[in-house]
Amino acid sequence: MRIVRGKNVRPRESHAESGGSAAASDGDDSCTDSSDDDNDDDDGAVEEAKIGRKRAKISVVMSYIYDQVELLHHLSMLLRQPRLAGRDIKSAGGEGNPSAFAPFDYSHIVEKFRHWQHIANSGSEYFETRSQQALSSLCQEPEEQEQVLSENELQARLYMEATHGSYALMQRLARANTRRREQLKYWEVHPSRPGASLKDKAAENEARTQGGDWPRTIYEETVVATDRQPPTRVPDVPIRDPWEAFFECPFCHISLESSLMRDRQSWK
Amino acid sequence: MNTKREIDSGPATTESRKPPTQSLSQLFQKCLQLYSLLYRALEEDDCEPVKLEYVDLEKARGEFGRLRLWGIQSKAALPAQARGSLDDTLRRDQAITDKVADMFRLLMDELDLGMEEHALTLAFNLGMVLT
Repeated sequence: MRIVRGKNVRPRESHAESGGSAAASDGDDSCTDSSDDDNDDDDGAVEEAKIGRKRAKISVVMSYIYDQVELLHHLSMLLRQPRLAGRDIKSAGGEGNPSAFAPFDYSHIVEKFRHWQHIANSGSEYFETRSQQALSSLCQEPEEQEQVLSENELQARLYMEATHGSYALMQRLARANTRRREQLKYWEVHPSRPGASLKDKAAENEARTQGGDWPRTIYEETVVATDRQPPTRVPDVPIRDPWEAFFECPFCHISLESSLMRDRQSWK
Repeated sequence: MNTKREIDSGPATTESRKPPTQSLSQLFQKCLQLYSLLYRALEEDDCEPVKLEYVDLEKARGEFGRLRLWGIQSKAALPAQARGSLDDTLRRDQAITDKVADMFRLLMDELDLGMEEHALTLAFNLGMVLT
C-alpha cells in the first residue's frame, strides 16, 4: 500500500457523483491544455471510481451491521424456548456429567418398546432376537461396555430407525426419565421449606441486634366464628317506641331517625 | 451469512479473532464498545459519509439502541457468572452457545470493517490517496 500526499482531490464533488466516471470532466479552466486535461480526466476518473467504491463499501458494511443486529433479534425467539432455561434443576453440581442411571433408563425404555412390540406382533421372532441383542449389549460388563456398546448400540439404533423409526422417541423418553430422576434426587437433598430462609434471616438479624428491641409488627389473631363463640357483630337496633320519630342511641347517645334506622345497614 | 465476508477488502476471519475462552457476556460488551466507537466516529461534525448521506446516522443510533435492548432482554448484558444470564441459560447447550458467539464475532468483524472504511474515507478527505 502506498500513500501519496498532495493529490488534487475534491471529495465533495467526487463523492456526489454516484457513478464516479462519466461526469468527471471539469468544465471551465481545464479546457486550455489538451494533454494536461486528458491526464487530469484520467486521474479524476480513477479517484472517483475509488471513492464511489468506498461509498458503496461503507453503505454495504453498515447494512451488514444492521442485518446482524436483526439476526440477533431473530435469535431471541430461539433463546426464549423454555428448554434452554433449565429452570427446574437448580443444582450447579453435576452439570455436563452424564447420569449413572441414564443407560438403565434407556434399557428400560427399550424393554418397554420391546414389550409393546411383542404384544402387537407376537409372531415376529426377528424383532425378538434383535431387541434381545440390543438389550444384552446394554447389560454387559462396564469394562467392555464402552467398545461393545457403541457397536451394538449403533446396530440397534439402525434397526430401530429402519423398523419403526422410534429411536428418537426412545431417546427422549429415556432422557426425560433420567432428568426426572435427577430432579427428585435434587429435591431430596434440597427439600422445599417455605419461609425457612426468611426465618433464618430474621433469626440472624435478631442475633445481630444486641438489645433485641427493634420495632416489629405484631399481628392480631383472626377471630373466627364458631358454634361456641359467636362472631363479633354490631348489636341490633334497640327496642323503642314505634311512634317516636327519633330515638337516642344507647352507645353513642346520638339522636337517630327511627324510619331511617329500620335499615340495618344505616344503623351499622 | 458467510457471504457477507466476501467483501473485496480481505475480510477478517472469525477464527483469527476466536480466543479460547471468552464468555458471551464479554463478546457482547466488546460488540457494544466497537459499535459505540463507530457511532462516535460517524457522529463527528466533518464525517463525510454522514454528510453525503451514505450513512443514516439516525438509523445507526437506532440500531445501536436495538443492540443494547437485545442485550438486556436476552440477559447477555449480565455478567457471565450472574444467575439467569445468557451464559448461564445456555450452559447446557454448547452448540447454541457457539452459534451465538460466532454471531458476536461476525458482528465485531463487521464493526471493525466499518471503522476501517470510515478511516479510509477520512484519509481521502485529508488529501491522502491510497493506491
